[in-house]
Amino acid sequence: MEQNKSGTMTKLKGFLNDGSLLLVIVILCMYFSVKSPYFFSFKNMMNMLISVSVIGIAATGFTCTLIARGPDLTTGAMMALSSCMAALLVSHYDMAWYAAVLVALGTGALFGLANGLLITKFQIAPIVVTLGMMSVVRGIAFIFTNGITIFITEPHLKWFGSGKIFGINAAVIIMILCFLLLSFVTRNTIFGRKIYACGSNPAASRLAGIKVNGIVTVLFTLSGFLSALAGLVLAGISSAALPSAADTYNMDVMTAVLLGGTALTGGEGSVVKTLLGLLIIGIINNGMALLNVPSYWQTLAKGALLIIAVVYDRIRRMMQATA
Amino acid sequence: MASILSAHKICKSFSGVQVLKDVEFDLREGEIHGLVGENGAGKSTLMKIIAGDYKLDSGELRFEGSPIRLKDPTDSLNYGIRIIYQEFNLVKTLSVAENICIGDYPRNRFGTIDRKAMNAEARRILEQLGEDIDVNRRASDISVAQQQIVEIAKTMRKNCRVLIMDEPTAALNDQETVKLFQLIRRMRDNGASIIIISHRLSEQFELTDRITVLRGGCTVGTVNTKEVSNDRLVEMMVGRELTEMYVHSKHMPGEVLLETKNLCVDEQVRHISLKVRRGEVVSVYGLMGAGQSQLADALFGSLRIRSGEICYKGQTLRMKAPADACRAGIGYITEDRKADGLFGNLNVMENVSAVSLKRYAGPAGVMSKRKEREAFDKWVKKLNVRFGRVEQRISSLSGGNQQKVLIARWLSNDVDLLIMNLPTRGIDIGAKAEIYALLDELCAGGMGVLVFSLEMPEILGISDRIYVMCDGEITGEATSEEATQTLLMKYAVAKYLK
Repeated sequence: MEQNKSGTMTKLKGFLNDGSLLLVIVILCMYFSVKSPYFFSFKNMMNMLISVSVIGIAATGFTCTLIARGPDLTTGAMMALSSCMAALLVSHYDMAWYAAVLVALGTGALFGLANGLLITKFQIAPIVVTLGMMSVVRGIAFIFTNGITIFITEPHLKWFGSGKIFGINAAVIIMILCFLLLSFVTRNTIFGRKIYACGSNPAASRLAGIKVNGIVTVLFTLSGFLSALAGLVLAGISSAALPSAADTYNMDVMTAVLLGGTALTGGEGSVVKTLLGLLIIGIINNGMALLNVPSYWQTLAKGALLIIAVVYDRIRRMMQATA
Repeated sequence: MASILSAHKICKSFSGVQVLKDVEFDLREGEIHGLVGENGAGKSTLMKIIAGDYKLDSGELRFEGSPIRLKDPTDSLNYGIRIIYQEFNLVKTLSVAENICIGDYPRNRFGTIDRKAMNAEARRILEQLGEDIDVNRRASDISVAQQQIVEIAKTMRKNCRVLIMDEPTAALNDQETVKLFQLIRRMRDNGASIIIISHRLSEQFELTDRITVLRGGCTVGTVNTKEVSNDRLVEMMVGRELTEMYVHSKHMPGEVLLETKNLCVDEQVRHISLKVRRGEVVSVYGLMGAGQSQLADALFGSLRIRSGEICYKGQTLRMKAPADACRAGIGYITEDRKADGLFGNLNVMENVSAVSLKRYAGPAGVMSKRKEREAFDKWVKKLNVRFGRVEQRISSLSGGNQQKVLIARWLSNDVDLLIMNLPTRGIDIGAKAEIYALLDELCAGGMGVLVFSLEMPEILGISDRIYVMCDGEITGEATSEEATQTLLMKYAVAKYLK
């Protein structure tokens, strides 16, 4: 009797650990393609990917900071600021589009650097620093734009969201490139290994000769940069820049990352799995829209997903620990 | 004597690996019962099952003859079973008094915590232990050894029927150990039955009535302490004869690797002048709190020095961070490998390669998993590190193997000097002997080893030269020929004698 119990338990544990995310995606796809004939078309899949691209780009950077130290809550605000900056610099200050893009990206990196320095020099928890910075950045976005929406007519800026490379939307390509690059770095480079070490045990990392502060600072700078990039894509998709944009995106990014199995405590996580988590969110939102479910239900679904993600993670850990 | 606690045919597996097989264990009322065994023999697992931390897969536990089922630690607490773990369960952010009285703080008439009573109670218990720790200090600010005292004080607070102690003297020095033993006997006289897991066989002989030996997850046997010899016990534990415990061959000392000149680290640790040469094992002995950890940290760049010089291979070493020491070719294993040695989330291989990552990388820092695996295989084979799979989590390895992983980590980075603080803390006898033999081999190969230890027999057994610290300063130095227990102790208390 006892032996049987442990047998099924081990199997259940294995199931929860590997491949369950893919299984969920497959099940969701099957469900929605049964319920709607438009679901599995190329156009719809593309739309779905476009709809998650902004969050996806930011989620890659978020995964890294979360593994190494903690969450970067400035992502949403940074998206708004960078899109507004680029749009405003082009339309009101007559800057060339490439200069505006560089300034926007640079601003993202700069605020990220500020985050990193505050976190490492003063040893403050990232959640506190980035929470404050989030409001600072958001405030600057409003001040810069005087609170108004800026419509984007410059085609190069629009390209970030609606341009095409080899027939596939530029936003999707950028997102995929970000995932490929960061996944490669975290899995296959020294730098990537150090990210996990810092998150797992900063004291041991220091004693092992790893420059913990440097790595954390670089990651937050990177996250700021990626959030700015995501903002440009957002502006391209909507052809407009609002200082109030992306105010719920923080939660979406965190949901995708947590669903992908990255621990809130750090030291563990995977960029690839974040992508899977992202796809789950995207498929659910897309499927619900196709089935004409009112958008408020999507909000509920997102919240429920986050709770399920965290509970699932906790159960997985409990099963691993007590066996 | 009636049986108060017994275990019958206990089986337990983790992820398909069987850790306990039909284990039998019996604790009689009023006895002190020792539990010994090698790496991974299953001692801690068995005790965790008794304490309610783990659930047994099959078998039966009996309390005072009647079968019991433990759902969680609270159940066992209700039976009066208390356990003190090797890795402590203190709340680091609370004070010493708050930790000792945790779970049941004395209240005043308003229902809030009566701090005065709490502090007084904590002080009283610590006095009983003969310990002088400021009860207002945060648990994270006191040394590892002092934390253990607080853990013991915690259990002393409530009446307990069965007390389990896992490596209780691991971080205590000889004086405290004597006090602890007196305490344990007093608790036994007051009605508690005690189980002691300890690798220090001399202590088992001194303290226990009976000893149970586990090996490979099975019970080898239970013997009366008075009727068994040291050799027989070791034989039961390892299944073979262990002839030499301390391996110490003499090597020709080479160039001076490390030299400190009048080093001052903080208010306590001052005027440290010592030398470590190639081919030598140099040990630093001292009573707990003499400043060994601060000195060790300073020698690795983990602590800023106030004045004086650290020279490595003849050149002054100015270190701003441990990374500088790593680059110079020094390795450091701290006293608390769980806190700042091991990476809990990383697997065995990743733990080994943590320092030497650059060696396995190509352009742009891209790692060659093949090179990493090659180096890993080489070192774990050399050091005889025992584990299941490479991807296994480091926390599932035994203490001895974890320590070997840390040694492998430094060896794979080509260090010339290895500094170890409490190198065999919480490690079983088989692994200890292996580590001593390893250190001897390293010296033969031209390395220098600097060991900080609280264990007199260990220091006398493996060192070429011994420094003794007392209250932050070096009060004596002796070669292995000159050193005796009395001499070392004399130096260790030198500053306390007027």
